[in-house]
Amino acid sequence: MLGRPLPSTRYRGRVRRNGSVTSASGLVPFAHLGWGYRGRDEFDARAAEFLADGLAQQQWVELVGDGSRDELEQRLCALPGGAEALEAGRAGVLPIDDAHVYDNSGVVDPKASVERRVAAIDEATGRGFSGVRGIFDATALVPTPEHREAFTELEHLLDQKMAVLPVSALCAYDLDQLGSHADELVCLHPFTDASNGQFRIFATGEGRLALCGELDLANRELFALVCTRLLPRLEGEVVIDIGGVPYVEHNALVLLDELAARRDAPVVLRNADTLVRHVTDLLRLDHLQVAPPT
Amino acid sequence: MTMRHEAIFYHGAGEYADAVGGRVTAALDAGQPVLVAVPEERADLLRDVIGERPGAVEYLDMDSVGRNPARIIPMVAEFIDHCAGRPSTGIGEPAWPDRSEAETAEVVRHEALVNTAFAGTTSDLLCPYDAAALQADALEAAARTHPVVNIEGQARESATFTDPAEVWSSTRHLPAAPPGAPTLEFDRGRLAAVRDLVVELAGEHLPAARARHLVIAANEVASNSVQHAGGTGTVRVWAEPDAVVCEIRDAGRLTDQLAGRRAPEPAHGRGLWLANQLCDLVQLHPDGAGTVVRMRVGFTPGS
Repeated sequence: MLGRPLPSTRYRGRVRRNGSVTSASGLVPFAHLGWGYRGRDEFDARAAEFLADGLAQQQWVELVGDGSRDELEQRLCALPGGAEALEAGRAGVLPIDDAHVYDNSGVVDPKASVERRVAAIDEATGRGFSGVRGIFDATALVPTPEHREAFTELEHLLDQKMAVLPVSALCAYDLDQLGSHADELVCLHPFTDASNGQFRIFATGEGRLALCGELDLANRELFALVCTRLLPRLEGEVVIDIGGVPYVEHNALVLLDELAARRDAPVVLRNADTLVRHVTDLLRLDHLQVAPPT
Repeated sequence: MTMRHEAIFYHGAGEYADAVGGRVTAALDAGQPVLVAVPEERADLLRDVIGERPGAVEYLDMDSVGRNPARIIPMVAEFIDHCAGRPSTGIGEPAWPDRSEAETAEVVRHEALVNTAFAGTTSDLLCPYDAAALQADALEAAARTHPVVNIEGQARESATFTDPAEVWSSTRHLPAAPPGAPTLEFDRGRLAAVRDLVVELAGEHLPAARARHLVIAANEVASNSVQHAGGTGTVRVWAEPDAVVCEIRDAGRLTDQLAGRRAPEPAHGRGLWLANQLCDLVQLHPDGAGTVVRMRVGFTPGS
């Protein structure tokens, strides 16, 4: 099945390629995909799809997960084409402990980790690959709210890089271990699995985000949690393109206004429906800026 | 000094200018801030009487701001808040002859709640009633909702003034929904379906922006049902000749008669307030063991 984005959302503006997908295939040349999986079979199916596209695109493909190099190599070799790619030096493995930089509690250091990942892109392109494609099982890195908060920034900073650099990632989170907490991280990707059904908030550049999907009571807590983790960690003006949001309840606007009030620099909504401005005016949400239609 | 809530019955433009204009002039002479919220043609009469007093009077077109009577109390509350304890005068004319029966019933409930909402203030709230044009029952209702009634320049205690809570509870114009109106039971996961149901019918009958007003209001009220009324509710929507109506019923018990009529506060209370701002009429009533909220948006504002 092709991983063609589902036509679930109409956009009022132009925004980085994104969508809900039913497989990890077809996201070429580069994409950032978040996936909540159940069981090894589902993970391997998506990993195989992502691997195949990467090899076809002449990208360096890396399986990153919990376990030793030997264990990860066995898992890579079990994927269709994995053993051949490993043998040919076109794919490799990386224990998750070596992929990022952590503090003593195992909480990721977002900025240092991003530097490490960017260096890996330079290294791979220096070896003649057209880019890097990582297949991450990050479940082991996000067991607690503290871990997930730091990982929120990491996902976002990496997503910023993926908007401009030759790098892709499939970020898989084990639903059997994380339950609904997986949503806190999956929603930070421009592409997500269609069964997720949540909003998506992803980077379109430094200080630039896009938000897609409906915001109402059903995901109010998740939206508040993600924004409360993410926005205070961003520096300077933050512009959020909400052209892909068919409906936004007023509570979400109030939350963004409260977060904007705590920042030194503005939070601006772009491509908002005219009624968003009407509601922020009615509620006198003076900290949140709504850019006029362009 | 305490709050004074007085109905002024007038016959014709001359009496209006004398009775209402005189009170405004007296308030201005006493240095009071004055708010005038009346239909625009009545405001013109008062401007002629008051003359040029730049910035002394705040005028609001009641036909617009008070189309939904539930919007009036927060508007007056904001004015009184700005007065910061100083005596002030507000002129509010929420009743006019071509109001629908449902609107007129809500005007009566609004007038009753004024007594509750501003009980602790030092404001004179004066409500002109067109005695020549309004039906007798509208004037009788005014006498039940105003402690003081002024007839032919004579202000006297109203003999029929009634406990505001009782007026609020007993005044009701909610004809049955048309049989066959699209209906949906909802819970937390079905709010999108509520919006879809409303937008489908409203989109057929209303301009896009007006339809969206009703969708927002329906979502807010349905969200309240999910959060505060047992997690479920029923939405029903139908078209009338000049409007689309959305009704939401739930099992919540309505205890705050001023719900949706206070300025929004950070922690709660924005949803119903927002519905009041976006709809031409919102009828909020206890109903059996639960609550019914009926919201109406016209083809044009005020229709």
